[in-house]
Amino acid sequence: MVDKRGLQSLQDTATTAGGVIGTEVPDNMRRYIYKLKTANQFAGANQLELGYSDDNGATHTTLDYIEHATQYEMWNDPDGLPEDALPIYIIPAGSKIYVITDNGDVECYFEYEDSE
Amino acid sequence: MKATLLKESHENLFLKEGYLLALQFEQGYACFRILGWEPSNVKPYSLGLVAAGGNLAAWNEIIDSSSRRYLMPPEEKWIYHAFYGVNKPKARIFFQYPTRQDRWSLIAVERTITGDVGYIDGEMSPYDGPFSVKSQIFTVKELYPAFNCYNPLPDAMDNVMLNFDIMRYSYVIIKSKDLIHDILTLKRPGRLHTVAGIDPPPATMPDWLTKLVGKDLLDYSKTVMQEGG
Repeated sequence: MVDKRGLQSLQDTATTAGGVIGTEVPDNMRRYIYKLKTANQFAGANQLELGYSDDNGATHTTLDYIEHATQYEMWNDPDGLPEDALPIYIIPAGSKIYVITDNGDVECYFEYEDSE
Repeated sequence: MKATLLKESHENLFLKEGYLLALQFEQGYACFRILGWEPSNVKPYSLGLVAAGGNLAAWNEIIDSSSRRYLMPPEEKWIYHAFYGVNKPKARIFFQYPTRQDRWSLIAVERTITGDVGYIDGEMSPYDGPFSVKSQIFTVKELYPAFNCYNPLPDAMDNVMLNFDIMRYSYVIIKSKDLIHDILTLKRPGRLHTVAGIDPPPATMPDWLTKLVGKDLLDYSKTVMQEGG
């Protein structure tokens, strides 16, 4: 269940080089991602791969792929955030969010909560 | 949140006119009859930004801009009874009562203010209530607590806030040994409360209250508790 008082915001740019964004999930907790909004900056199709990494991006585990067909296409999941919402992604303790694209930049915005 | 809805409201724990209250101090029990009550609150009380993985630089005695303590009655004729909730959910509030006496340790080693032991966070005592019974505080003049906060998360907490629900009571001190006996042996309905905790021992009764209650009644209360009735 989402708790508005515990939500954190994170904005960063996913690139073709790939990399971790945000902070490391604390011991004994998980990062519950409740919202993801993306915007494709590349003039063409662009795939965003989302996952997590516990070694600062050297290796990563994939959670999902988000496809953008055209420039400035946006992905917004979910549209609204009800109080009884369940997380859309879960990042384990000791890891950070990992993002990489196949063609160009994608701007990413997350809302998440770290909790047991 | 669903877990919150299952909790009983802390408001049911406030006392009304005529209720009997026995506060345990290091020297013994002081027994009171509540004469009147008046509600108040402090919301929000800001502890400010708490850095990722950090604490407050100093213990906070919950004061106004002139350093007057909200949780301590300004006059001897009142008792304060307070509960509090915490914003953010993961902000860990540690407690000293009286000041410089760390509370809620579990093992022989005193709890730290960066650990997993001995705190209330915003999930246990939500900012919007109902507040945890663990947050219950009774204070009299010259006796007040202090708070610190630990942020266990890797992101800064922009503003940790507390929400205090406070009841101010007027009272008379009970001098009848028979009534004191009945209160302490639970033969009369009354609220018994240990001021501050048991390790370290309960708070020392302020001198002004010791004089009003008297050594004889304090010793008597100890005898009743130790020998029963």
